[in-house]
Amino acid sequence: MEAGDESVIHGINNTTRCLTPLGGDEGAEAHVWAVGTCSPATAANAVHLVHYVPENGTTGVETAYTVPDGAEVWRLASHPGHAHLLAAVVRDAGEPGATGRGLVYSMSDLPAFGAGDGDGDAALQLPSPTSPSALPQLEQTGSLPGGPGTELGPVVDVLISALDVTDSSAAVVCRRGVALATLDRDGLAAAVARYVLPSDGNGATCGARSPHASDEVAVAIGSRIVGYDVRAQSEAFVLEGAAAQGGAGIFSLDFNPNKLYCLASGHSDGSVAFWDVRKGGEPVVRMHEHAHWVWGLAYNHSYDQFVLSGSSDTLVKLYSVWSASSAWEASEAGRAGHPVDHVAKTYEEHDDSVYGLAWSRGDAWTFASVSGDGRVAIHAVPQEAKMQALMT
Amino acid sequence: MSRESRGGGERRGPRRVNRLLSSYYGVGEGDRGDGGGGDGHGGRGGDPLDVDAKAFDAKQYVTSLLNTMTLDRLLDKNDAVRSEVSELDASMQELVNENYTKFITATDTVQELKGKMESMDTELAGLQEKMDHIDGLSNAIDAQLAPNRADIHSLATASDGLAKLVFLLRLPARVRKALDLAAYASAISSFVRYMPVLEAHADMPRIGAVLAAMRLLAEETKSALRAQLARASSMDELGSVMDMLMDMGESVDNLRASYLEKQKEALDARLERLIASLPDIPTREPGDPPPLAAYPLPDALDTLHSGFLPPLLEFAAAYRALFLHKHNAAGAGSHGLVHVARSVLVPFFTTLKALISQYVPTGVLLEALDKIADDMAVLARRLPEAAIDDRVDEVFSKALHAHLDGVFSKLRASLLNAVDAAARSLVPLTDPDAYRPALDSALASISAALASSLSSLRPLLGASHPGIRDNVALITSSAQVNIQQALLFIADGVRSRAAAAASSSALAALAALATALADDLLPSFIDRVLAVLSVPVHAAMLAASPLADDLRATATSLAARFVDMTAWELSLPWLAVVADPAAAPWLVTDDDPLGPSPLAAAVVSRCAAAAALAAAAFPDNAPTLADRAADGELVDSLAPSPAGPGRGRAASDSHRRAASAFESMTLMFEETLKIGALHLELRASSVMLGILARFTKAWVEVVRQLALSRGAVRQLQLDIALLAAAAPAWIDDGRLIAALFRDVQLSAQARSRDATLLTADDLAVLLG
Repeated sequence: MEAGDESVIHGINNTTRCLTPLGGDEGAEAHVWAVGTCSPATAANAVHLVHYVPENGTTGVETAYTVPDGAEVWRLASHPGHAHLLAAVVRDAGEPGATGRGLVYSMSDLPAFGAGDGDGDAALQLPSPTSPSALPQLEQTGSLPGGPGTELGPVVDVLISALDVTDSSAAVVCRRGVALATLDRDGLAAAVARYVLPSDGNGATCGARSPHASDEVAVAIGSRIVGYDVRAQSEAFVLEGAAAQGGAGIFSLDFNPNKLYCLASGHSDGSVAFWDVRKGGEPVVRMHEHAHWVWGLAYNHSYDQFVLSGSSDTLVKLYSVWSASSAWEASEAGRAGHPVDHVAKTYEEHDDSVYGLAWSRGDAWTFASVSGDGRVAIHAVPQEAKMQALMT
Repeated sequence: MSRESRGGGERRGPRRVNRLLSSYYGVGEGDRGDGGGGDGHGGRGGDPLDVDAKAFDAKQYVTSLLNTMTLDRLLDKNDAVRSEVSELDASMQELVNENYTKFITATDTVQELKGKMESMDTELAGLQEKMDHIDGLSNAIDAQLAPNRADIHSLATASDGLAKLVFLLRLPARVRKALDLAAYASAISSFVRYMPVLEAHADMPRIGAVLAAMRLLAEETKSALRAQLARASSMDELGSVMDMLMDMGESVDNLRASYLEKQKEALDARLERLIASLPDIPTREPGDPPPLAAYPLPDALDTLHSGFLPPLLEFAAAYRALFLHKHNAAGAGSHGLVHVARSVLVPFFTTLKALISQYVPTGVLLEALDKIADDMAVLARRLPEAAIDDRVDEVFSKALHAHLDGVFSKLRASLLNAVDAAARSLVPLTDPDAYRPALDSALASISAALASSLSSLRPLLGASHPGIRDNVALITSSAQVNIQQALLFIADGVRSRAAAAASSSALAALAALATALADDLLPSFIDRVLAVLSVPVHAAMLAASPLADDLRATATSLAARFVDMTAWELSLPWLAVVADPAAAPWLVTDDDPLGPSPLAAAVVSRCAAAAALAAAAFPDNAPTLADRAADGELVDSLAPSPAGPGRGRAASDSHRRAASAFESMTLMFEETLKIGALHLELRASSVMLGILARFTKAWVEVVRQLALSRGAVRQLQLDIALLAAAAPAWIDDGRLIAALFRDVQLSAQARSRDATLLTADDLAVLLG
């Protein structure tokens, strides 16, 4: 996105709430995200693969897969090792009641994400998914623990991590518990551990998985953030009263990928708090930038001072938070050159609540956001912030 | 991480790392002296807190860090250590590489050495031969001397046996002499040691005679000891005589019984003396006011404990030493000890309870309880057999009951005095100017009495004794009863005496009291305090008194406090009481007429909190609204066809939670509307619009997480219509209102499979 940091917009004609990055080759010529739709109206829900070719600034739908039974897709997680696998939280279309289930899907004949002749036009020439019947369907290969009627309750979020291609697992955050399941190449899931939350009335609202200890999952319950070691069946940490005054809910969490003990949380009062769990009590930094609930958070995996937040005030904010990043120097002298924490850019491309955010797998400077009205926007980190990160 | 600073850090880094590594491998020791030894590492071998020193003790180091550093510095230290570890790793790899080269050189040298070693082998063989010859000569000499050595050994054995026999034959004489000198211990040791020997050889005539003599002497010894036992006065003497008797084979049971009886008598007598020496304990019926002079509880406790507990423990220890550890032959165990200990503890605890029931100031009582808890813990540890836990609990609960009774009797008395005094001072006054200070002081004295008894309770609530913790409910409930009484006094006092004259300072005193109550233990009294306060405020406002403004200011700030304290439902009626343009700053700020005022901000954040609560409860897709429809409300009567999925009353817990959250959201909003309506003239409209926008946005987000039935969407449509119909009363922009509510409705429709809406006519009918 060298040409002036302009954001690029792609529209999906349906309600959307989630997206996840696909691909993964550093320096690939196209960035690809899978975007799930969640309309209750008809059996028309699908997972769209939206690509963006930076070279010519074009975007389009590479292809789309219909979801079996038209189920609503509420969360998506891609597999870093097996590109054809997707874990999803789905709800039965339009059915009231607690129906969040965790499923593993396989995408057949997955295109080779724009890595080819390099002109990017080939992707554009693919037929646009106009009629659902013409589209391939996702194949359900496994189901994850939890779901309505189980002890763990409806599934809220699913998070995949892969240590290497052969050894990967999914963490499932449910309303009343957390579970781990292994995933194999064919998408078969096998539950290995679970942790049932003490029932005190509040259910989990969102979760995040520690990139440093794959058994550790942080979960927001009411105004607390609790880290569980699912295999050891113990609490790793508790941030009591993490929610700010007047903000009763926590709607999003993400771990700092490069710095142990650090995570960020998005709150119903519009603030984003950055925590060092060792310090408990007070966040390291709290940025109050949004006017409404913060639904999405995403750390940049290469430069963890960059964090994205999306809110129902329709804005996407890119924070540059040095004081909570791994670049933060322990010594006073080392900090001298640091910029102060600030919002590097506010993106105003959405007209509806922003629910999902995801950095590209192939490039540290590109990310996508999705809002409730089906709009996917692809953005770049502004040049000056990029330079600042590279120079300091 | 600027380049400059990094460079500075590294300049010192590698040198130190190299030194660390070379000391690890033991190379380059000689270089250290002329190297840059400026930082003096060579001399720090003995400091356990020095990471680089040999005597480094990791545990001690971490403890000292934890003790001396702040959390931030600790975390920084953690990061710094981690980065140094990774640097060390890298340097170590480098060093290993260098050493590999050196290793190869060393191998060559070893090869060379091997050749020289081979020539040495022959010389060593010669040496071995000569040594063998010397060894043979030495053996020959040893064999020649052997017979002489055996002779010497047998002679020595015979002489030894003779000496022993002589000793045995002289034994009776020795024992006789010991008995004459009353050296029983040495006599007894002779018996114990030599009687078995004598008995074993009794068939030898001389030895038989000695044995008979010894037996006679033994009987004599026993009777002498029994006589001494009867005379024994001190515990030590008693113990030692008994010890000797038992050594002489006296029956343990008999001895123990007589010992226990003696000790019990001694302890009983001691306790009796102690109790007699205590200051007189006055008797007091519950409800009597406490005596003027506090009972000298600490001194009395001290006398009782120090006089009685040490001898008791001493006795227990002596008993154990005598009978349990040494002569536990009969297996009676500690039964006798328990019996005696329990029976002497009965009067002790009776006295203790009587002492502790005396009224003393709370601080003194807490100290006394501390002392009792400490002493009893010692007692329980050293004498677990006595099982005193129940007794101690009894003492604590007795103390607490008596103390609460004292505190509240005192409070009642002082309140009665204060109110009486107030009545007396107020009645004759007719001049308002003179009247006001009198009322002020009366109020102040009542408040002070209440505050002082509260403050005396506070340390009690904070105390950590288990007996008190278990009784917190008792404390608070009796405090509640008494404080309620006090507040009634105040209310009566204020109400009956032309409250219009109350000044703001009196109100401030009351307000301080109210906040103290609220902060402390009894938030449930706020409403009562408010009832008391509202009387003078109302009166002053009605009378258009010049004080009204003062009063209102105090009242408004009090209301603000209640909002802070989340006593929302209290602050609203309170605000209604003082509702007046004078409260305007509370609703809109002067600086920015459109900006949020403190109240508006509070309302907004409460709306958001309620909505978030609803959201947290809702994501399970609770079809609350559908439930309501199914319950036969309006919508169904109009359009009976849709069967809502919530039908069948399968309302789970989460449904009910969601329902109540949603309801509280709506209620909150209605309350907000009421306040807004009160201040219509004050252009609160823009503030209200902000609140409404925030509210509807939250509503949208909640609805988007649901799947709604047709009935539910219609019910929601009706809710919207009701609110939208009310809205123009306080916001004059109908278009904006409609747009806000339309968002909610569209979101609801989008989340339903089958959203057939009510027509405008239907709505008109339903809204009447």
